[in-house]
Amino acid sequence: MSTNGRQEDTGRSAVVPAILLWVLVACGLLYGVIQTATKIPALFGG
Amino acid sequence: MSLSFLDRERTVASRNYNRWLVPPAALAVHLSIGEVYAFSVFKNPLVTEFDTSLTAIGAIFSISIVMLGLSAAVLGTWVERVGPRKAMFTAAVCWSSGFLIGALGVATGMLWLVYLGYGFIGGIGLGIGYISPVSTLIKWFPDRPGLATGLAIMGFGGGALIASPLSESLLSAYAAKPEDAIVPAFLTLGVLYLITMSLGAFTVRVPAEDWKPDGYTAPTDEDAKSMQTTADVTANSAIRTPQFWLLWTVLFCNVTAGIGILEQASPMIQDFFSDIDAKEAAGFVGLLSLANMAGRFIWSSTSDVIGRKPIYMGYLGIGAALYFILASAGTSGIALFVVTTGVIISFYGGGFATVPAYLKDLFGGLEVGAIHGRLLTAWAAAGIAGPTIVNRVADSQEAAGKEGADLYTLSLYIMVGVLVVGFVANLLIRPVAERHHERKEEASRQEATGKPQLTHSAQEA
Repeated sequence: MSTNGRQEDTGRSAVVPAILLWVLVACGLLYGVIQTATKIPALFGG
Repeated sequence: MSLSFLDRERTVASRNYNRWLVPPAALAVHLSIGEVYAFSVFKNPLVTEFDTSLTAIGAIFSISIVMLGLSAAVLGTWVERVGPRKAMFTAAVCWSSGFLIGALGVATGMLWLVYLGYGFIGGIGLGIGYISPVSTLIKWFPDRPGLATGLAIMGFGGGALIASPLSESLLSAYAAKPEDAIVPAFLTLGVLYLITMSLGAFTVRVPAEDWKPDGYTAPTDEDAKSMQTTADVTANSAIRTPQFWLLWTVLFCNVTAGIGILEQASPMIQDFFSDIDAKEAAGFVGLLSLANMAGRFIWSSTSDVIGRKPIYMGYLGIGAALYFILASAGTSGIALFVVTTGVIISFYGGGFATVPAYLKDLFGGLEVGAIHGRLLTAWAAAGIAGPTIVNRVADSQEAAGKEGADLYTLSLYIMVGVLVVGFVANLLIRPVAERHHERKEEASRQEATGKPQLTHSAQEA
């Protein structure tokens, strides 16, 4: 079936961008968590 | 230019595609649209720039949240039909256009353009973006739908954690006065979110028609957990069931209770403890943000193990007990206050993240995104009810000469009642009656093509 070939191509070409996107969102989340966590010590007098 | 690359057919993954490559696409969208909860960073600069009231500027946020609820409800079926890539890309265009048009409004001194851009058009982007990855993730993770949707919807909580410090940095980097930096900050965010969400749209994949995770066997009628259906219900049929409206009540009660604290977090802790200043209160707000985000992932994933109905009994039942403790003994110690509110807010986030999996259990995966969109009207209603209860009660108590924690005691007891109502509604939820089920062969054809077929109920009509 013609769509099968397209599906295989789609799969291979998607892997690298998806991994890079994992890295991007993980870095973004880490930035947000660290920035927010730095405010918390003030609550306990830090 | 042909836009066929956005079609659902072009997003079908190969059979050996690793499903863990799909969540970052959903996260990219939710982390971007989650910026809306950091809008308060722009409030004071916008008040100064337009020389207007906080209420007039606050309306920008309100319009965007109302549009989120409306567009999710109205466009849910369209999102299901066209697939995640076209929906995510549309959300990206709307959300970033909101910033660009908003920037034009600020630059030209026309506040209505900011309402139109960030509020109206951006709000449509919020609604489409919020629901677009849900059904795709549920199809990739039929064995763990709570984990999958928790991961994505955690991004909506995390978006503000990123956008808040980022926006503050942009405002201070572009100009000496924050009000002079709004336009370049809006333009920067608009472009940044267009790129991030587009990356999500172009990497998202839907599973092939009969794809299943290795070792997974779909539950049969005999071995399905009592609340899990093996059938499918369309969005139009779902809203005619009592289960939909009971779940609407559950979500409304859970959000009303949580949002009442979230909206008042900073003044509330300062009223409860007179030695807490604004800087320390900001630490408390940060802690609640982390609890909100963590609750979305942790509790939603837990629901895959213990079931959706039991976990909502926890959100609502334990939540009511915690609100009671807060009302009766909240001033006895700051540690008790912080831990209690932190758990309450984690339940608030968990309620949002678990609800798509609960819908999938009750109505099947066929149009779960569209049904989810309609259910989100409960969020819009709770967004009005929660803050109204807390603010009105606080005002009336202040007028009666009360102060400090006494301003909130009555509203906290009201929230206990609200959560008890939600608890009862959750208890009343039963499996959906068979007469609402789609015929299986039509449901599987529709799920494969994304196009609605002539339904059982339509044929009967």
